[in-house]
Amino acid sequence: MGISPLIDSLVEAFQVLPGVGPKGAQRMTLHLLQHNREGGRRLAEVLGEAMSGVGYCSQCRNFSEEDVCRFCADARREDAALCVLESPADILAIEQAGGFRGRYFVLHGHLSPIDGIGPEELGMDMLTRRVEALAPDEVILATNLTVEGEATAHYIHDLLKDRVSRITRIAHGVPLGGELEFIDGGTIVHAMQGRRNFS
Amino acid sequence: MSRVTGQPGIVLHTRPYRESSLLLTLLTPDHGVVSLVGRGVRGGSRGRSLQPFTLLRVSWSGRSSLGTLGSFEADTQFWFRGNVLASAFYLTELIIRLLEEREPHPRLFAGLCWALEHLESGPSDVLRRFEKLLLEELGYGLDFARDVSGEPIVSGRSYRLVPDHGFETAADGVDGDVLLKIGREAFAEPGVRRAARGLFAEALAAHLGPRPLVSRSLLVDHGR
Ligand SMILES: [Zn+2]
Repeated sequence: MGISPLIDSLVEAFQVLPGVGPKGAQRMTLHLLQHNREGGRRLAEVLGEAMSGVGYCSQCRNFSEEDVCRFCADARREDAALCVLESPADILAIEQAGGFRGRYFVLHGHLSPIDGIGPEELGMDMLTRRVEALAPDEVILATNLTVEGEATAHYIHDLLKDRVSRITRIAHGVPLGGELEFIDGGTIVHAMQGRRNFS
Repeated sequence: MSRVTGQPGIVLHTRPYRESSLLLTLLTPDHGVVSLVGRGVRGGSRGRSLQPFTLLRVSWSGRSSLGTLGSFEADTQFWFRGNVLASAFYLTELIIRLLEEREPHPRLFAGLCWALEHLESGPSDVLRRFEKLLLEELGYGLDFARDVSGEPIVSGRSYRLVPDHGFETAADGVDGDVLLKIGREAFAEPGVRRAARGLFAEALAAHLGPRPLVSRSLLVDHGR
């Protein structure tokens, strides 16, 4: 029971954010009302636009409000290398680390039988079509170095091995059990540079 | 009873939970399938050892169905690849789909340890033995010595499976000799392996319901 029904619902709504509990949500709510109503209005506006406007790139499944995302549309990027990742956060990690100029494909997850996530849910058909369209020299499997990430890499390898001459896996400089999102930029650069042929 | 210490456990499944926590499903001997929250273990070096197919010693607390992970120590981490990994996922998917939580299963725990240790050397044998054990643990073990009417199963006669009941004589079924071999877990002959695969799949299907096993779809070369 708080100050008013609207404030209560706002406090509750903020708690959808990761790491935000009741205390934090209350602080955010009061802060916006007391000190920054303009910022709050802007937040509401952009949030609404993003939630209805952001979809998926038709070529790589990255988040995008355009039919084709900025990485796929960028003519300066090279078609020769295609990097397959579990999440859009992994694209950000690799872009921030720098050095990779190829294309991406985002699975939005990994194979996880117990969660009911099989090849279909990860857009494997789309990946096959993307590989056929780009005809890359190399496909880099940059799924996490977890049991599920390995399972996913293996599945993709078997799926693409007759279509691509070189399939590589990011190096095990990333600790076993590592999720890319939790790994610093330097480690990702090493992992990308030290990638090895996958077999 | 709200605290368990030093229980052996095998990680069946993990899933990210909130920002830095993990939801963990384990198979343990004395408490069967257990779901736990590992607070703050995701992303850190501690959490990295919490991978499926890791054998642990683990403590937890909490009386509700979702306990809180306490201290743990990884003993052995099995790291499978390719079709062997798909087979290992099949085992964990069967356990999670078929077992009730928090029912003791010491034999099944020992069986899963054995299966994980031997999976690499002969996946199909290991899977058949595990399926046989799992059916027994669920209370639906098949009798390979006697048919449904209590007559001994004999070589040269043909039988078919009536799920949850047993084998009855049938015009075009599986030869009694093959059933006797499955009963002894003598899976060396390809014909016996094939028959066992079909029979156990049929017996398990009765309990899995219509939802297909996702781990089956991980074998890329299947059906090509
Ligand atoms: Zn794109």
